[in-house]
Amino acid sequence: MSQVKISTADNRTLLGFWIYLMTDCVLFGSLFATYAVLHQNTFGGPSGQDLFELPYVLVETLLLLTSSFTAGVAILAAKAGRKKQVIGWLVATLLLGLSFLVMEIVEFQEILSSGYSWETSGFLSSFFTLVATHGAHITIGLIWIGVMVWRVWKLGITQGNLRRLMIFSLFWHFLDVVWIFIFTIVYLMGVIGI
Amino acid sequence: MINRRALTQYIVGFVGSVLLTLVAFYIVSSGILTGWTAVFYIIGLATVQCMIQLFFFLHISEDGRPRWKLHSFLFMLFALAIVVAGSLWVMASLNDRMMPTTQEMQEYMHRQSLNGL
Repeated sequence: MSQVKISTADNRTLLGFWIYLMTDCVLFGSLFATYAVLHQNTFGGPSGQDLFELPYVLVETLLLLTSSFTAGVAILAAKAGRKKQVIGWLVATLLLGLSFLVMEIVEFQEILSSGYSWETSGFLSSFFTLVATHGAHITIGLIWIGVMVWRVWKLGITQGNLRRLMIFSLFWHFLDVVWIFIFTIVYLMGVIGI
Repeated sequence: MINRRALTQYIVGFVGSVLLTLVAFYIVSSGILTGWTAVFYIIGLATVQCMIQLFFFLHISEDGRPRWKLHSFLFMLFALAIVVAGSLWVMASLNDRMMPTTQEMQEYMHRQSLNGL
């Protein structure tokens, strides 16, 4: 298999996507700021200490982290021109990401079924907005992986597909970086109670 | 062949991130550190993990010249610092000035009435 190269124009596309990611960081930053301001306004409802189960969130975190790693390996396989390996690593990323999303939805469902929601308090409004915005990004990423698996399957590792895969991996790694801070600031600090 | 050096980078980044996550989890769940000391350490660990992923996963150092990736990243940090620090500062100060307790309110009204208002 020959090595697939990317061109100067592709590098420009990657930089453009990088700049979009920077604006997305500012979006998440403003949601973090909102959470930081509102997180003690529980209005008689539950606090983070009452709601969060750290071992559960740790498993979520490790699933997403592993999927970030497998996405990276998929790019290396694509650069080496190994079609089957690319599909294998992408499917692994898809399954790990999907498990993460399902765990997050189950967690939300449990909060809702105990009678609390985003309407309960300022804390829960900002919590759901921040974590679910991340979850929405993950959902889009999962659809994206599905499309890429199909494209690589049909067309092989073309220059266009390699560029799309590299853009996707930037997006996926970025979502894991955002999750580090959700894990730390929302969950860990929520359990500490500050 | 898969590039060995690049693969090593991903493995180092991955193992490092897992370890840092587990240490942060251990600090909080075991309760060996509490309060602001614990917060100080876990924010530090998160920052280190963020740097690791920036270098080993997002390859921020493998930039062309001029280093637009790095420049746009630093500018984003600058904007982020203004938004986050600014919100916290303004809202904390606003909270201080709002909703006096009943007693504070009565004292205030008493002072005003002494002034003939």
